Amino acid sequence: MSIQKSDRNQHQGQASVEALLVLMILGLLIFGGIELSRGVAIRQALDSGTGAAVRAFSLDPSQWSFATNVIQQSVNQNILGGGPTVSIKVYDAANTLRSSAWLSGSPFGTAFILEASAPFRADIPFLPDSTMTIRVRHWGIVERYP
Amino acid sequence: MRSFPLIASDGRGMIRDRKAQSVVWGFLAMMVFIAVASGLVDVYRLYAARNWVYSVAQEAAMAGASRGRDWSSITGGGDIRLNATTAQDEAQRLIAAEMSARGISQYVIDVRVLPDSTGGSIAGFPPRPVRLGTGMGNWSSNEPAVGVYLEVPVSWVMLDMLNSQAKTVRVFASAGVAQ
Repeated sequence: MSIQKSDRNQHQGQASVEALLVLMILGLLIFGGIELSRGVAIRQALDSGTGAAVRAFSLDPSQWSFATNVIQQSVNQNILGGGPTVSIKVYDAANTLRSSAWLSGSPFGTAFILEASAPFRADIPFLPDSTMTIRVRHWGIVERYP
Repeated sequence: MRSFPLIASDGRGMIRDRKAQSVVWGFLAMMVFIAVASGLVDVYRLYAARNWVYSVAQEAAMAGASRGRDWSSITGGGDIRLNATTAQDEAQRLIAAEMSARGISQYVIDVRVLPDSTGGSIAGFPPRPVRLGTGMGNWSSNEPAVGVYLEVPVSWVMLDMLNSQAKTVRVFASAGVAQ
């Protein structure tokens, strides 16, 4: 009788260990999937906002703060919520970093690249925190005249 | 002394000891979970790549239409037209710059221009069916326009392991100049 009970306890212990192992990996996959979705949602919002900001810059290249707000609001309203702070940079057609003043003073027909970036940290259990930067780039052409 | 045989029978031909079964099931379940997660990553990767290629094609078409405008046709008293060579070069230059920035060298590009003020049509373009394509294979426009067709390969995570062929994203975008 006592041998049977000990045997059953052994099985229960083994099942618990196996369940724990499975749960650890399952948790990793589930939280990884959620974090991946969050990253994709932020990237999608950043991409969409940057596209709108480029059009705003095309029509009025001096609207730096307006364009930044457009992107920030787009990221803040991503479907999974919790938008990080975005920052923007502008490059010329030769991929040289330029200032907002350069863009503001650019004449009709000037090509520019708007790069928006946002930090993203994936919180996945059992894995070290990894912070990365999500970047998107969009091309635009100044359409303001003169 | 009690013996612990690895496999015990209940006397009716059935295996009674199931010690290793949960390990096998657990392993199989893990493989399925990992395959599902990898598949999810692949779907997201394809989705992101497709969006990116679309935006590159759209911006290239816009660049071609914007910088390829032939102002002399307006100053000469006519309607707006496109300079076909300039429009094509501008669109191709933008695509080359974006592909270079991403380190992509294996891509197919086809840029066509309808320079006349009334547009026109090009049979057999875009060369392959694309999403949102109306009248696929016969692009037409009623204004001067630039059409950009792009094919970009996308690498897989899960399907690469299975030696599957690389997926190719095919997109078409056009931009015109309103009179």
